[in-house]
Amino acid sequence: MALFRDRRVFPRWSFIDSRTLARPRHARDENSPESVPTPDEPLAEVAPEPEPVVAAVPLSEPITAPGIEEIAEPVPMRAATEVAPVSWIEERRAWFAAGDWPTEASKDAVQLAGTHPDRPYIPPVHGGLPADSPAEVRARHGRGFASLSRRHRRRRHGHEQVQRRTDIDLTALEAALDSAASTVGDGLVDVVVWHATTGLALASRGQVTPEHASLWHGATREVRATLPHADLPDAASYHLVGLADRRLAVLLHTNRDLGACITVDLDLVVVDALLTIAVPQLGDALAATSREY
Amino acid sequence: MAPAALDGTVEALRQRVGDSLVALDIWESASALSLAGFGMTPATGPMLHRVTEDLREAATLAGSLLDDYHVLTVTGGVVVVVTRPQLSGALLLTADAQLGWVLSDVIPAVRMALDDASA
Repeated sequence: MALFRDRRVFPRWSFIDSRTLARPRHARDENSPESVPTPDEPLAEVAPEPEPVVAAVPLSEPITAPGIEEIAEPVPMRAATEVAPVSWIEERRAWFAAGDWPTEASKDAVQLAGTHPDRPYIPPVHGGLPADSPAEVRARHGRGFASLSRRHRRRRHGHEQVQRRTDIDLTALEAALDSAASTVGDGLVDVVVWHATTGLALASRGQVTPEHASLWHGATREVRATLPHADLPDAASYHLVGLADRRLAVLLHTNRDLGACITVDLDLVVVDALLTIAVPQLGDALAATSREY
Repeated sequence: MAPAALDGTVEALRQRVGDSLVALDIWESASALSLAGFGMTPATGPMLHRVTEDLREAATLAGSLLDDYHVLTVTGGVVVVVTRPQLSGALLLTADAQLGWVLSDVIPAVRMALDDASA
């Protein structure tokens, strides 16, 4: 067996027994023992063949050109049959008019559409549900990966920060605002409570727009972030901002989840009473409305 | 404004507020550069000035106008910031200072002292 490359037939290197291939007549088998003369063997002398003698032929008749046979017209091997012209549309129209078209797949069609040509196709009773009960499957294969998705079994990496999930009781929030409004009395201009993470207004009393809550939320964050750079201690419970027309805004940031702003009229409200009664009550009520779960 | 006048303003406020005053700083409102005071670092004045400007912008966008003061409660004390056209000042008070007294007595005194120093 020889390994060679035949570019004519085999595009790749192939194992082909070269002895089985047809050899041209003029080629000599160089590997055959007959063709290789041994040094001891004398070379056989081959007698020269006599040269052929060509005799002159006398011309008795003139040479004529050979006649050309006439080739008949090509005849097809199979005779053309008489086929009526078929209109596919007319055929379908006739079929539809007859009304015998199939409304469901036949058995042969189902078998032909199956995945195996010989094996009979058995459609499942219900393709979506397993035949075994979950208890049997669990007993056979174990619990699988379901335990990894459970919260208390989940292992978190060190750089992950667990998101706090809080539930804010909006009904209690409304009650807290009603209580604060009744405590402050007529001096209350407005009060608004917002979500400390997003700045979205959750509840309000008075003429308060959603932008109002968002702006106070942003200002509160700026103040708390600036205090360490001002070499001052961290912000405590509230922040008093004097406004025009003798109004005072009290920004509460005691709660981690909620922020609030009470705007009062200084002509109608006693500041000490406001800061010692109303503001602590509102702070406690806000703390009671948010619950971590 | 003369530095001696600012030192007199600082001393007058110290005597007016009393033992509740822990630190005081007066800075120029235009540049937020600290001019006089005691007990505060040079970064306090500019940072409080920036806070005040943020509050002023928020109040304006919310439909209100910021008055010339705001009071911050911090851990263990109270920070009073008064902003006037020429000079601004910040006072760090102890936590036992009553805010009613601060609003009705201390802030008007600081306002008057800053106006007198800038005149």
